[in-house]
Amino acid sequence: MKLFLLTLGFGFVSASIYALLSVGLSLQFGVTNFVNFAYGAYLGVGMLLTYTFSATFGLPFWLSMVLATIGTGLVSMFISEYVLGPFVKRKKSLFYMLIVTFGLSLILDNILQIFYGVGFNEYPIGQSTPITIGPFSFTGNQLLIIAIAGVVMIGVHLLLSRSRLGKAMRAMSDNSDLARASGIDTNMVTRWTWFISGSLAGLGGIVLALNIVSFQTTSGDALLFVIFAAVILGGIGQTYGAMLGALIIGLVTEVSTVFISSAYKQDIAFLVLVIMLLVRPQGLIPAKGKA
Amino acid sequence: MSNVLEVNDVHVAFGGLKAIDGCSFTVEKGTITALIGPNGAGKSTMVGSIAGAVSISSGSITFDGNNISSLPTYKRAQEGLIRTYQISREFGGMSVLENLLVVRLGQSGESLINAVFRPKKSKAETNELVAEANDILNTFGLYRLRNEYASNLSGGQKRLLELSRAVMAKPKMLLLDEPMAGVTPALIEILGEHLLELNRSTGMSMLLVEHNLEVVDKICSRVVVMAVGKRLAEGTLGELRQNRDVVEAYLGGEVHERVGG
Amino acid sequence: MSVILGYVATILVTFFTYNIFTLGLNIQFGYAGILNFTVITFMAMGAYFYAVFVMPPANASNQVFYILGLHWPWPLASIAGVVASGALGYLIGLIALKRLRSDYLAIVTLATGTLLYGLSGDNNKLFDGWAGLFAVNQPFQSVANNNPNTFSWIFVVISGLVMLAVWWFANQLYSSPLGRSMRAIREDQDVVDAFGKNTFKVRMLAMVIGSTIVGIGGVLTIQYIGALSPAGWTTGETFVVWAALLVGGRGNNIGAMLGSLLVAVVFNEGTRYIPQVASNPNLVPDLRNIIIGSLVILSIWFRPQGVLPEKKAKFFELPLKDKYAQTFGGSKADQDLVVEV
Ligand SMILES: Nc1ncnc2c1ncn2[C@@H]1O[C@H](COP(=O)(O)OP(=O)(O)OP(=O)(O)O)[C@@H](O)[C@H]1O
Ligand SMILES: [Mg+2]
Repeated sequence: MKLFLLTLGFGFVSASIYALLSVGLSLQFGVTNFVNFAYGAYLGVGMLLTYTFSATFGLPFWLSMVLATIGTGLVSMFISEYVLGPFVKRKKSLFYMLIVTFGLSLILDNILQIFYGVGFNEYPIGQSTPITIGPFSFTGNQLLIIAIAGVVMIGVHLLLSRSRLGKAMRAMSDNSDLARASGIDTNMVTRWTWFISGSLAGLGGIVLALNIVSFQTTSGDALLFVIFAAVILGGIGQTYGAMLGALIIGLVTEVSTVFISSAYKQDIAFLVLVIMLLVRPQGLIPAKGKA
Repeated sequence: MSNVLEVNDVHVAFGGLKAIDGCSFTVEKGTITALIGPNGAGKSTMVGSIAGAVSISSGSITFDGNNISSLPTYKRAQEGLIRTYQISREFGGMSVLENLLVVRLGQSGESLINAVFRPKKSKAETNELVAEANDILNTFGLYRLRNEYASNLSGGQKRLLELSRAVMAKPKMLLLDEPMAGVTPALIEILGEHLLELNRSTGMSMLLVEHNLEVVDKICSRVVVMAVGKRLAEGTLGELRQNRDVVEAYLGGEVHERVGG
Repeated sequence: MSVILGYVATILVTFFTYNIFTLGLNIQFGYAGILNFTVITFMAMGAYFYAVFVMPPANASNQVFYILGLHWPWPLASIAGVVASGALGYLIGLIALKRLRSDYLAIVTLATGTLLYGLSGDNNKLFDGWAGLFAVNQPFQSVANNNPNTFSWIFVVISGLVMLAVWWFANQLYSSPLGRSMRAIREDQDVVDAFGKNTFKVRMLAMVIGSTIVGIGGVLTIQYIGALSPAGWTTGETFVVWAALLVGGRGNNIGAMLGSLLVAVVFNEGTRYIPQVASNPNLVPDLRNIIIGSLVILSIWFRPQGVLPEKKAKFFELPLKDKYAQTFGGSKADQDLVVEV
């Protein structure tokens, strides 16, 4: 029981990381209607920019995180403007959009590898001693991760429910032609969406690195299908569904380590993905006109 | 006479929007029945639900005596129910001729073994289909373009391809969703004659969604009027012109201009 | 001299096996529009299963572990390898080919690839972990041991013949009604569905055939080299196959062949001997991957149909009977009567 509760605690940490990542992927999918296979590489960008800012330039860690998060958002926006955008404008079929993002993942990964090599890196911050809260036990970093995710989720909720941008994003998710016809500047919304999606990917990559402590350029790619699993579980393109999916995947993968070797915990996410696709491919919260 | 198609209290909703809201009508075997109604009435949705592309939330659809409501799309087509699309959906990367060849069911070369190891038999069969397809293409004025990529056709030509392809499938019943939209008036008349001729010579039943009432008047024996997801009225066009509801909802001034005169 | 002969043989075998991979992907993507983002996993599947069927039981005292170890004769083990990769294709198809958007299939292939890659590396009981399998029994083992060059040339002939067989098969399929259904599904699956074809079955066939063919290439690869570890089937390798297909011309088997020649042989081999940069030993391979990735993207931008576009189908036709030539249609109607909309 004690072990179970302990893993449950880790489950919340993982769920927090996945929540940032799956909301970022899901927002972008909802608005642009194609899956970004380069998303895993965006994690690496955030993760490693933080390393450069903090370890190489010696900036305070919190500042490095902020800069890297914004930086990844900008990279994402830049790629959308100058690489993906032109393909979208030419009305390339879905097939080709997917292949293009897939090709991008190879390019980005290898650019990162040129700069950072294939070895493992660590952030120049100490590991705090675990703090016990009730039956759970967390490191300071893990508490930070949960806090960041909590704040960001509330932020995303406010963005979608209160701001004009968020409402426009939702309108585009529901029906982009209709949104355009009703006077929404879809180019602008798309641009912002890519920025937000990239920032969330970057931030997710950073907290992932905080959690696994040593990381390499491809650490994000290995997680990509876990994010897909969370997104599909929740209902592809559904932001709140993505949060729910992340929570479930996070808890299930961590709690599974009570029963099986932790080396296979991500394979559990694959299992959830498969079951979901077979039983309820539209996800827990199906989106209109998607899937 | 029996009905080839019976639509019984069908409901379809897209999210909160009730696109079809309890609609019933029948099509008699061997007839061409028109389905008319203002924009957004739910005609295309109806065609989609009959063909299986749109799932209905309640009600039933009976084709040729069998309840097909829960059959998957391809099985309905195998029963002989073939539809066309309001917006042409050609196989763009294939030639016009191939667009027709692909739709015929039961070709021996569709099994892997025959396809790879018994190409002779399959080729002989294909040659016969080519001749048949060329006849159809000739009828619909696309013969000269048979080796063109379908994506290179003009909008009007794509409409003709849409029709020819459906005819090539040798259906028992055709669901035609505005087949004449975007076709010149002169050609509309000829196409109408072809449909009538097809109906008379093969007994193929048709449900024709059409805005052009002249065509409806010429080739359809009965007309079903839909509005806001419901069947508003049913009868001959002549009867419907006397129907106040119909005139108000749909026929309006247009009829008096175009048909009424 | 013999070094050069050996090298030429290796290049030819590389070309033939990559061409087999590309033909397999062409049937999946070029014919049926199936996005397989983990082509190389099927290669590994074929290779590993050939190996564990052909090798004797694992010898724990050498610290080498793997499943099975049945010590079958190589022709039977080859079949086992090919069946295994076909079966993987079937399983993926079961999960993702039913009424789902094409992104889902792409996600499932990628997820499966990541999963199997991690599993085969981390779990050293399956295929000996990251160390991989080596000293795998080869066909004509004694020739391989005593006379490597002769073996290489024997293998050039074998892989060449297999490639030709696959090529013939792919062409037969392409021009058949089944191939036509696959291409129609690539163009618009819903419409094919609406015309009464079981599109799930047809796509599944394309998926399994393609996976099987890639598996054949995998069996040949490990038979020739005698070893395979996870480092030999990274995601980058999948891109080589995609780049070959897209550059050569999807849907065109000669294009696929040309693409494998240009990408897998000329580009890959041509850059293999660029000296390492001492300060950054990964620079050259990284740049190579960047170029491969760019090749994929740029070919979609500039020439999506590839160097050799898909050929238009030709049919044996009798002239239309004279009676039609005079009636409506014939040669004039389509010009005169149809308007643009
Ligand atoms: N896939 C869909 N998702 C959401 N709403 C839809 C969808 N398809 C149709 N609708 C809506 O359902 C209603 C009926 O549409 P439908 O296309 O069936 O009308 P129609 O009678 O064919 O009109 P038209 O004459 O313009 O072709 C419309 O309000 C339309 O906006
Ligand atoms: Mg309509």
